[in-house]
Amino acid sequence: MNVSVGARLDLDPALEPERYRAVFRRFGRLHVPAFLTPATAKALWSTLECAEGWVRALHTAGGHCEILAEEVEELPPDERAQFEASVQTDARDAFRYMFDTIRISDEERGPRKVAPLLNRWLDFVNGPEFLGFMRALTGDERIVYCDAMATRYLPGHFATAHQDEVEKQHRLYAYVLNLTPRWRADWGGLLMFLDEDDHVAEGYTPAFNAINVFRVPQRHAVSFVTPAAAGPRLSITGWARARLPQGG
Amino acid sequence: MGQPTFRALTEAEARALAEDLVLQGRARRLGFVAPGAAVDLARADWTPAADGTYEIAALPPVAEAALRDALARLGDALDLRLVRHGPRGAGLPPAKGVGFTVDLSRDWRSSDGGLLLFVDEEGRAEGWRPEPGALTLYDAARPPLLTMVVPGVAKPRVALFGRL
Repeated sequence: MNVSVGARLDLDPALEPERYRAVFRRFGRLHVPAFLTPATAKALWSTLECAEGWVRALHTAGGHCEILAEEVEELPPDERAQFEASVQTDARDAFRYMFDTIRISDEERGPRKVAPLLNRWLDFVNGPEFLGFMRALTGDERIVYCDAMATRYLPGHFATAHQDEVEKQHRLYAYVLNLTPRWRADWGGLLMFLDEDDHVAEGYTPAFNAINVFRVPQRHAVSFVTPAAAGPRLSITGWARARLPQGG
Repeated sequence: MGQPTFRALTEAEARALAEDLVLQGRARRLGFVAPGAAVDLARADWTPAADGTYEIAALPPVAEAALRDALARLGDALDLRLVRHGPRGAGLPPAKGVGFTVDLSRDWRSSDGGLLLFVDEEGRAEGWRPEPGALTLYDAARPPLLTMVVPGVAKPRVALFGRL
């Protein structure tokens, strides 16, 4: 049995979201370290480390598609390299991505099962603590719902510039909770906010138990994870929305 | 190949660069080399040294003279070389004092990688994609990260590198 199943989910009691609000409103984004209690962060990390059922999410010239990650990993090296190169081919000119995900939100998940602690995470981000944090940070009382998915970026994974706007999803803000114990900037995987000249106005290196929150729409990207990365870049990410999902 | 043209820094510009360098550990000035000339330099058929880098002595004479003149305006430039990063290439040679780069690549996008990123102790980054002719100075004690050029990028990332 995974010891994380019964773990408590708690925000760090030292958080003071009202104090960060002015900065958030000015820049439309913020990096908040020490977001959860250390025990909560560790439990989530160990759950992601052991999780099964990762799906490789790809956006190619043909649009979005998903394949079981293990099916890609099992390809012969040449075939796999060819496959990955095909995703990157036109990545400079369009929105493209390649990363692994576990959909946690009901509307996205379909019939797949997820680890119990991740199910509880979905309840947690829709409970008073997390929603209260988001409202206090942003000063935006319109937030009524947060969705969630786990993401895993391996070497070669990336997401080119995009704005996170999706029709009828009523996204207000995005959050990225970093759950990688050790990461270096030169491994790539930075969450980068790009200005109108395509320079990096600000970027955040993944840091364990830090949450990045940013206003949507906002042009951003995840930089290419290099072969030097010593482990996967793990996070739980999602969007705070102004409406409940359809059927919710 | 067209003759490179370098725009001399005005006193005010030089002062602003120096202030940025002291306050932020970095400074950037667009148009230090005229963009067209930067592209010509990037295209030139230079002969690499044994370590794969390119030294100023290998430049065509006109370019060499112009570069030496331009860099003299910044002080005594040392270790001037061309650095070229193909797909999966990353990083800059080490420098002491004040390091600098002059971007020569054109039509470069952030999605190509090869970004010059300044990352602080808390992991917060800020930086630039290459723009032909742009000069970046930095405190070599806090050097930037030159991120990996992503696989599949057709053209190499080319820049001048040196220290003052």
